[in-house]
Amino acid sequence: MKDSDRELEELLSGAVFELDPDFQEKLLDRLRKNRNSTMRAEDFHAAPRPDRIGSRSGRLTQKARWVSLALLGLAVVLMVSVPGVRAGSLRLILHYYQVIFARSQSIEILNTFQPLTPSFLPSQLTGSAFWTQESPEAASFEMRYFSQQEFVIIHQIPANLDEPLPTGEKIRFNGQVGILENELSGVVQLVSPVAQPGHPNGPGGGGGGWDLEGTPPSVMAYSGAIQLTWVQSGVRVQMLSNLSIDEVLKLAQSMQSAVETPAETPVLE
Amino acid sequence: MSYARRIPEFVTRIQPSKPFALFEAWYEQEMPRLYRYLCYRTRDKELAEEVTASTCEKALQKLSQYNPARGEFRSWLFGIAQNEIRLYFRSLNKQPAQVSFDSLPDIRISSASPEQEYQKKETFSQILLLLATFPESEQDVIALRYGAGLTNEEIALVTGLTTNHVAVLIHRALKKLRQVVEEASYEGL
Repeated sequence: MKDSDRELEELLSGAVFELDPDFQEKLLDRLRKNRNSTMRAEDFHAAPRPDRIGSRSGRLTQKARWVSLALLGLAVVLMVSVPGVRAGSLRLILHYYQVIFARSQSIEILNTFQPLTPSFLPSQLTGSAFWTQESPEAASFEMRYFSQQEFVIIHQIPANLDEPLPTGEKIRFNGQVGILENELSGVVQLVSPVAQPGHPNGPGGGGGGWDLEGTPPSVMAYSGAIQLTWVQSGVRVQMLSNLSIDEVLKLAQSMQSAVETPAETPVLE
Repeated sequence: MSYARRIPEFVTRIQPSKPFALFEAWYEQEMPRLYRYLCYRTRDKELAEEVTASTCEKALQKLSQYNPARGEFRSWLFGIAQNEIRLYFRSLNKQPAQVSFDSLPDIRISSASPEQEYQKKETFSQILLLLATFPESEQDVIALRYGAGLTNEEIALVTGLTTNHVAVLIHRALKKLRQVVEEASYEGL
């Protein structure tokens, strides 16, 4: 590079036009003021599109809001003033309430109901145990033990304090009172008509239940049988049998909660 | 620090969602370069200030139209300034070929002695006079190169020319200006 070129470069690069700081400051103030009177870029970007003014995505428009409110008001007026509509609505509400309520109750029962199991069983009896659920709110656990001529059916449901025990002779055992009914007759089905899955919390644990195989008659007619009913550990127990009163009481005394004692095959005598 | 490296600093500090903040940051750090570019182009202090102000106002009005994907903020602003200059000259239907020493913007040139400083200012004023006779494209690249302090690549972005074309224009302009400097050197620069 020639000296003259370098000199020229130095001159052009070295010469600086002085900017008046006052001008710079005043201009910025003016621009800020002007900005307030003109549309702000931020506002421009944030502003809704003209065709969507009064509306936001995911929200009702003003018109839709008023229409919804009017329809709701009309429905309330109809319910109040027209008996048929009122009755129908109430029936509908009650129906759904019952379905939902019963469903939740049923789940609660199955989750909390712990059946009792006997630790004593007369040696001549064999049997089976299974869960039944006749309705959403009525879960029950049934044990059926039998021989060729004798049987005992132990039916258990969650205790309902509002439901009184049947009338009969009061018998005290294990520090509790049971009601004994005598001279009963009828027909029992000794084999479960449908194999029911075992309750997870029931005897035998995790599914399947316990099952003592036998070769019983499927149906047995009985007379002079007794039934002992009592409430124990939140469970209402009904024990129907044609065994002697002593054996029935012994069996009743051996009934224990599965939580208290792990389920096991009853001791055979 | 070079101009090219200083620009991204303020750009990266500003959130794209706040364009006015971007403008303010540019104004505080880079506005003097715009002013010096306009001093080269107008050779008049008041006019340079006027066009600087109108450029900033125009930029502020069109701030929402600025699209970072289409170019850097500085290029966008120099583009507005170029347009403002053209509009101004067109409105006057003339381009001032002569400059008055009184109307020249204040020039600062560092020199060893006051005499040398005076001589340099004289030479620089003659260069400004001579520049006014050059084609607009040459005036523009010289103003962007030495007034705004842009590199050839940055000038190419602002003007839309190729880098080579910018280099050629600068070389051609400097060749013409060299004569002035040489003559001044003979006179004791």
